[in-house]
This record gives sequence, C-alpha cells and structure tokens, in this order.
Amino acid sequence: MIPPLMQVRSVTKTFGSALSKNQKPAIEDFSMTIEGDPPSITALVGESGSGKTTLARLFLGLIAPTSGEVLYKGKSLQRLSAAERHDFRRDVQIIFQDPFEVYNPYYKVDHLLTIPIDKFHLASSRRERRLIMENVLAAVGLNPGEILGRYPHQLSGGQRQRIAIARVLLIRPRLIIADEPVSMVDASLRSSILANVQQLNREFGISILYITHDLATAFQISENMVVLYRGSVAEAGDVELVVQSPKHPYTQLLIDSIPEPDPARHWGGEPVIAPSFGGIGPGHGCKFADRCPHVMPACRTQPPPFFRTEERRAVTCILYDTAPVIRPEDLDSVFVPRQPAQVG
Amino acid sequence: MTGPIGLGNNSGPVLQVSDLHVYYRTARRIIKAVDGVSFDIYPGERFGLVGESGSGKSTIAMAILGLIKPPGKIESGEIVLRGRSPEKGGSGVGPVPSLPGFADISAPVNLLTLSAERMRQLRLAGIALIAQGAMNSLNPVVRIREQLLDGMKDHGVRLSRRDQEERIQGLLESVGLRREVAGMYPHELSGGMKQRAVIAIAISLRPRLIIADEPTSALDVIVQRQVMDTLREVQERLQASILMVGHDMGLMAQSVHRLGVMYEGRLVETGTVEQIFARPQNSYTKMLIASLPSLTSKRVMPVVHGGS
Repeated sequence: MIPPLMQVRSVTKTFGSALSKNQKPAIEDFSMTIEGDPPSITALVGESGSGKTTLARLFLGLIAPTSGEVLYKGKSLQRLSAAERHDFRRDVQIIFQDPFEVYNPYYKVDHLLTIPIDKFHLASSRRERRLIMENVLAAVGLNPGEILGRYPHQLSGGQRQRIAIARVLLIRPRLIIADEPVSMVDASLRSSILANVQQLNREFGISILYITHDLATAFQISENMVVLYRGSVAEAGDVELVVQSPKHPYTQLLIDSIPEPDPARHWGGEPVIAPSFGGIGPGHGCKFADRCPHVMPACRTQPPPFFRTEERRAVTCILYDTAPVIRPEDLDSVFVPRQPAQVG
Repeated sequence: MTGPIGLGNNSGPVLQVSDLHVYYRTARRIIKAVDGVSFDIYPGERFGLVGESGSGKSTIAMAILGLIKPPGKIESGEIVLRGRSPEKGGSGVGPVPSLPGFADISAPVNLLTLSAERMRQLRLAGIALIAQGAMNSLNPVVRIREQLLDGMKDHGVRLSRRDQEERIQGLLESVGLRREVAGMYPHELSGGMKQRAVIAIAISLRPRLIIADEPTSALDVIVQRQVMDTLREVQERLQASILMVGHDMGLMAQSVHRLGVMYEGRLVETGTVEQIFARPQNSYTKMLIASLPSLTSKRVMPVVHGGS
C-alpha cells in the first residue's frame, strides 16, 4: 500500500516553556490525512487563535509537534534524509496571505519565478526557462508580456497573488497550503484568484489545504471542511452539511455572524455571548462551554468526543451523544471521497 | 430601523458634501482621488460608502475631517456640517458636559472655510473618527481611563473627580465594557474590547457625525457582529449619524440605511440598501454584488484572463 502524501497523527503543539502554568495548546490531538491521490480540497476554518496557522506550520515542517507525528510519505518530517527533504520541499508548497510581502522590492518579479526553476533544475537553458515562465503565467490568466521585467510596485495586489500561484504551479507540487490567499485582495478579484486555486486542483491534480476564516469562500471551493475552535475540532465533514446545516453551536454562531449581502435577512440567531476572562484550563470540558447557549453541567467535566452524526460528518458536542463515537484519529473517515478528476 | 425619513430631519441634513474634488498632484501627473462627489447624510442616518482600494472612499472621510495632507489638496466643493440642535435629555451616557466651540450651535458651516484651529476643535466634538485598525491606535502605555479623558480635556471639558468617574463608567457601560476596564492597559484587552474602547472615545463628546472607516476590518466575524451591534446602539442612543466606509457589501447590507458606491473617484450609484441590492443600476455595483461568495449555492468560477 502506498503511504499517504501527508499525515498528521495525534498532534499537539504547545508553545512556551513546559514549566509555565496555565498553558493552552495551540493545537490539541489533531489528526488528518491528505492522500494526494485523488487530489482533494479541504478547508481548515477558524478564527484568530483557533490554531489554523499553527497547523499550516506543522504541515510545512517549520515547527515540530510537542507530541504526535507529522509524516511525509509515511516518514516523520524529523527523520527525512537530505534527498527526501528535497522531495518534500518540492511536493509541499505554500501560498501566503499577503501578496505584498513575498516580493523583494529590489528584484524584478521574474526573480520569484527563476529561483524555483534553478533550484529544482526545471530548465536546461535560458530560453527554456523563459518559456516555462510564460506558460505558467498564461495558465493563471496573466499576460506574460505585461508581467515579466516589471518590479513588484508596478503590479496590483491581484496580479501579485496570481504570480505567486504561477510560481507554485511551475514547481508542480502535490499539496499546496493556501493560507488566507484572498483576504488581502479586493472583493471583485477574490473569485478569480480562488478560481485559480481551484484550477490547480482540477487541471493539475494538486491537493489543496485551504486555511481561512472565511466560511463563504471555503464553501465555494472545497469538498470537506474542518472547523477549529481554540485548537480543537468543533465539527468536520462534507462542506455542504457543515455550512448549510451546522450542528455544533460554535459553527452555528459562526455562520449566523456572517453578514449576508441581503438587507432583508437580518444578522440574527442566538445572542452572542462574550467569552469569559481566562476561560477554562486545559483538559477540562468543552472549550466552547463558556460561550455556548446550550451549555449543561456535563460540558464542563470532560472534553466531548467526536460524535458521528451522519456518514459524512462528526461533531464534538454532547447534544449529539446518541450518535456513535469515533476516535480522533479516525476523523478522516467522514470526509467525502474525491470523485475521479475530470479531464478538462 | 427605517431610513432617513421619520428621524426628525426637519432641520435638514447633518452633512452635505457637494461636488467635492480632491486631487493628488505629483511631479508627473494628477491623480483625481475624488472627482466630483455629492451626497447628504441625515440626522440619525447610517450612510455607507463602499468601494475597492483606491476608489477614493477614505479620501472623502479624510476631507470631511480636514486631514488631507500634501500632495493631496481639496480642489473645489463644499462640505457643510450642521451643528448640534438643542439637547434632548436622557442620553444615557452620563452627564453631558457643555462644550466650547460651535459644536453646540445649529447653523450650518462650510468646513472648508474653517481655520486649522477651529477644525481641530470640531474633530471629536462635532465629527469623530473610528479609524481603520483603530484598536491599534490606543496608546500601549496609558490606561484606558486616561485615554478616554484625553480628548475631553483637550476640548476644554472640566469635570470634578466624581463627575469624571461617573462619565467614564457611563461611556464604558454604553459600549458594553465593565467599569474595571478603565484601569486596564490596551494589551490586557481583546481586539473586540479595544475596538469598543475606541468607540467609547469617539462618542465621549457626543458628536453629530461618526465616521467609521473599516471599523471591523481586523476582527473575526463573531466579534465583528458584536462591535457593529455596539456601534449601532450608541449611535441610535446619541441620535448621531454614521458615515461608514468599507469594501464589504455584506457588512454594508447589515449595517447602513443608505449606500453610495464609489468607483475611480466618482460616486456611481446611491440609494437605500434595499434598492441597491434588489435593483442595482450601475454595472460596477452589479459586479460587486455578484462577486460575493454565497453560502447557499456553489457557483462555477471562471478563470479570468488578462487585466488585473
């Protein structure tokens, strides 16, 4: 059996000294598998402090887990050989949030594209290098003649973000971590940038881990969704189920709080309860208990397990305690398997 | 809950912007940031200006506040503010200090004719600003109490110690903060609490007009909703008007009565939110609404070629 491309196994990451009290893990007992084949799009949704960026850094091997393992093709990131690490660096790429900060203002934008071509020996001549750059720029809908030879300040935010997508495209990775790729881009350009991300998946067979606080764009491009709250999974499964009939009170609050572009539909739902100071210590009950409108005494005694409410969804809330319990490491079993890629 | 009508606007608009032109002149060219914009805001009304970066919406806010700096210049136009009409009691934010300056008068005044000093007096007292990322503009080494008092002192408000405490408590309560927050430093507060503290500062002199420039842009959706609820509550209690500047059509739909759509320095469409969302007239407005990602139906997104 071929090992999955990436696997995160029972990972907990705690920052700061082990001696300090009241430490709260940034991410707690999290498991997820990205098979790589067939290519998937999974959204990781959460607010600031939910642990989503910590997870991105764990996936990229930029930080090591406090406990648990991050595996690339079945092997821990901490134990890769030099050659395996080189493969990993090529196979797993990131698109950052801010298209203004990834460029060095002193270099022409070509620089961003020539570095990976040279690093991974993708071209054998200058002409071939130029051809590769032109091809990937055209693939993301840019006119190479308008882009190459320019400096970053001469380009718009939308153009810069699409060049960043062209850069990952020429590397042909198998997984892209897209960390809020459209949050700094104007609204009218967002859908076209997201279309580029979706294109990477559909046309080029690349898996996407879409990290965002924006449920609406996550719903638009992904198949499966994981909702994080303070380092733990609140709800996970088929994106249609999670967004259109959320079950966890936190997911419900999150979706009710999205301002709908419809003046007739009022911002509504449950009244918002502000989090209490300090919250609750680690290991004691549900992390959402202090804000939950449905809180019961049992919520404060132990953390809720994953209840598999449907074939394609699991929720960590004891409102659903009649549903079968699944182990955290089996969370992947609720995800919709990807349909075979359409050849377009 | 309704539009501008029925809010006692027999005294006319609070703010009238007429044919405003703001240009930035550089050595090589002139950038027409605001190119002939006119709109009115009525008492108690929440008016939104929506547009993308570079559309001129924030420049209009800065022009109203008299904060356009070279190479920017107000080329022509009028910005007329009508001062405060006689007090009606029961503001619910503690004792109302009497204010020097003309924040108390009701005769209209063209802001562009005022001296820098008069304009300085008018800011906060007549027109208050909640700036983009304002929560990061709190002074990190000063307690919230002193930051609340700072603007009042600067505008010549003298209160006894007891009145001071009562006023601070009233302001904090009106934005949903506990009184202990007065003794805290900004780093002890969450983003949403800091933004509420900024709203408390903005309303401390009971302005006629509150300009909110992307007031929730760095906040999570749940906190955004709480902060917008707070802003609306204090605005309705003060019977102030709001000019809300932003780019999020969804947030505008939930927050304002009327909306103006900015594109390349011009106001391309104005109407009530109901009109604009139900029957957008301008093609740019239509595109802005259509580009919003939906939570109910998945759309096939085309890869756009060319352009930006």
